Amino acid sequence: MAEKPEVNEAMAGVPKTPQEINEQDVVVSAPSTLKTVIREFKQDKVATVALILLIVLFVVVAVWSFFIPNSKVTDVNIMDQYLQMGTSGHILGTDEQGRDLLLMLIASAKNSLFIALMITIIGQVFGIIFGMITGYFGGIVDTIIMRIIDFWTVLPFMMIIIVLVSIVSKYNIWTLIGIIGLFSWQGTTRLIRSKVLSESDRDYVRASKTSGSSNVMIMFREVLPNLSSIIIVDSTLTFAGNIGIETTLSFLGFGLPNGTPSLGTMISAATDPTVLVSKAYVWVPAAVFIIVITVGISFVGQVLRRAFDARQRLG
Amino acid sequence: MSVLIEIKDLKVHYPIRSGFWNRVTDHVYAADGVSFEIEAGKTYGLVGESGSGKSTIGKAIVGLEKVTSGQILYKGQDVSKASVRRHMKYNKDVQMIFQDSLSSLNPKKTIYEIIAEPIRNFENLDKSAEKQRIIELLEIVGLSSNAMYQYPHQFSGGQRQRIGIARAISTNPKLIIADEPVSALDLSIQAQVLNFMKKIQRELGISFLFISHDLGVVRHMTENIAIMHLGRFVELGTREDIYNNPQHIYTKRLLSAIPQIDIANRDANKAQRAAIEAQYQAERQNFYDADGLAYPMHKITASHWVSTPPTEKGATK
Repeated sequence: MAEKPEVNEAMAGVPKTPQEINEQDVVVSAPSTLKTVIREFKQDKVATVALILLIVLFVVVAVWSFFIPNSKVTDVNIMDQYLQMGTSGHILGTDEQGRDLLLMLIASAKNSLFIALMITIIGQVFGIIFGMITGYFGGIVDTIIMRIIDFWTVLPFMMIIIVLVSIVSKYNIWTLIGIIGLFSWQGTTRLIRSKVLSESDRDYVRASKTSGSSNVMIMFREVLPNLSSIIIVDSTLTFAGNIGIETTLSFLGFGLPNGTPSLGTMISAATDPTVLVSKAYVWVPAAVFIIVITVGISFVGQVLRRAFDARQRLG
Repeated sequence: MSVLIEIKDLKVHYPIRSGFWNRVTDHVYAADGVSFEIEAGKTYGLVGESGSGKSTIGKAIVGLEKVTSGQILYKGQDVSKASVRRHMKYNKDVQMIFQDSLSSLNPKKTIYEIIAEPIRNFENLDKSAEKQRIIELLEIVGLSSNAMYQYPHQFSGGQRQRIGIARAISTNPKLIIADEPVSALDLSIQAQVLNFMKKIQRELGISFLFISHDLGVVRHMTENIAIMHLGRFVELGTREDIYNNPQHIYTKRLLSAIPQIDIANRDANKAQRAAIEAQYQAERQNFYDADGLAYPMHKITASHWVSTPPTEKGATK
């Protein structure tokens, strides 16, 4: 990476005549990746707020969801239907089935974020493997894989997911992850491929070849660490997108099965006109949650992207 | 002296693709029928202008470039095939030093991991022996053992090139291909690295194939020199043959291009260079065939080979 080398501060302060300076003393070090990221966050107040908010939300969701018994989000209690915010201990009120909306929100967020995370992991793992292979070997391998991806990307994936969801008989959270995962690796493959193309032309790859390392070893031990920055940025940004895909499907009724709360199903309460107009407290919190999470992730992703690309840096 | 590697009629051609169907329409003749031998413990220089194919030959020998035809014989086996190379652990004996010291070291690896890579692949050392070997290698190249835990960007160009050398000698190779190892370094560091390579060569008895366009450096470093032009050898001989008795017109032209700091005779030198250039332009067609390529070489003394037209076999003087 083209980080500006800085003379270590401790050295810069000490005046030395040229004779005194010997090779071991001069420590030229580039700022570490972590330092660069922190500096970029300092330059961008909005992203810093977004990061703090995200961390708080993720921790709350992850921890609290463990303490919510399943009955709280599945049991129907008509007596408590559509309670207003703050009545009888329901901070955010209750929905049509009389379930506490705050607990629903936490449980839904946990499911939605978990699915988005799993899809991101699937997409990154396959994207990295295919991108590595296609970029490193090039030639006929590259042509075949890239044409498959070209074909795959023109497919209307939302339609196909809906069809697959309808025809799969035994259907749960993992099948949904698998089906969405089928369409999550193409973009990453392209990105990794382009970076591997430029990396594998560098001399350290040739040096590894003459050092007797096998192709697999070179790809995953030598080249992969050099891709870490774009992998971090890409997974952050695709994570935000994957939350959107899952909630869209749930909203349409093709996402998580009944009984598994999701942010999308919570928002779909708004398809009832009376709820949409006069009982906004039922669906607004979930919508706001999604907006805050995705926009926040985008801000953080932008900062990471700037930190890893010296030309875009602010600080 | 025993022959270490024998290169027979080596050809490396790159296809040029063009047209609607992206078919192969022509080839770039990067190396076109090159033959020579490398003897154990000797230094060889490979000189030529940019694009003459000298790096291609170096890469072909070390196994980084696919050979179109011809043979590279090592211990009686043709090592131009990857399977043969892997089988006989060829790269344990033949290593390479790269031009760009920064890009030849993985930026995300410590010096320890970089130097340990060939050792782990070719030699079975346990952890402590491996560490001992790396400290020893760093000592040989004049770096302190602290360097092990640092990253490539923390070193200067000269130090990085020495780390590259340490990696190249880590498996006790018999031949090192040095592809313009000092052309990215400034002059004071060049001298340091070159003397260093010379010292290592003497102490460890390694053969060097020194690829460079810098005739001064080659004269300093090598005993035998090959001059390349347009993918073919035009002259091959000992250092004395080439520098004191150049036969091929391209060699003469190349030698006259060495800058001289000789202010008193500046005009005389300039006139001589102009004369050689005029001679080159005038006699060009005598030394190159109809396609503008050099003729095959002929022996004129025991050590001296020159590319001359077939009709004038051994007659040029």
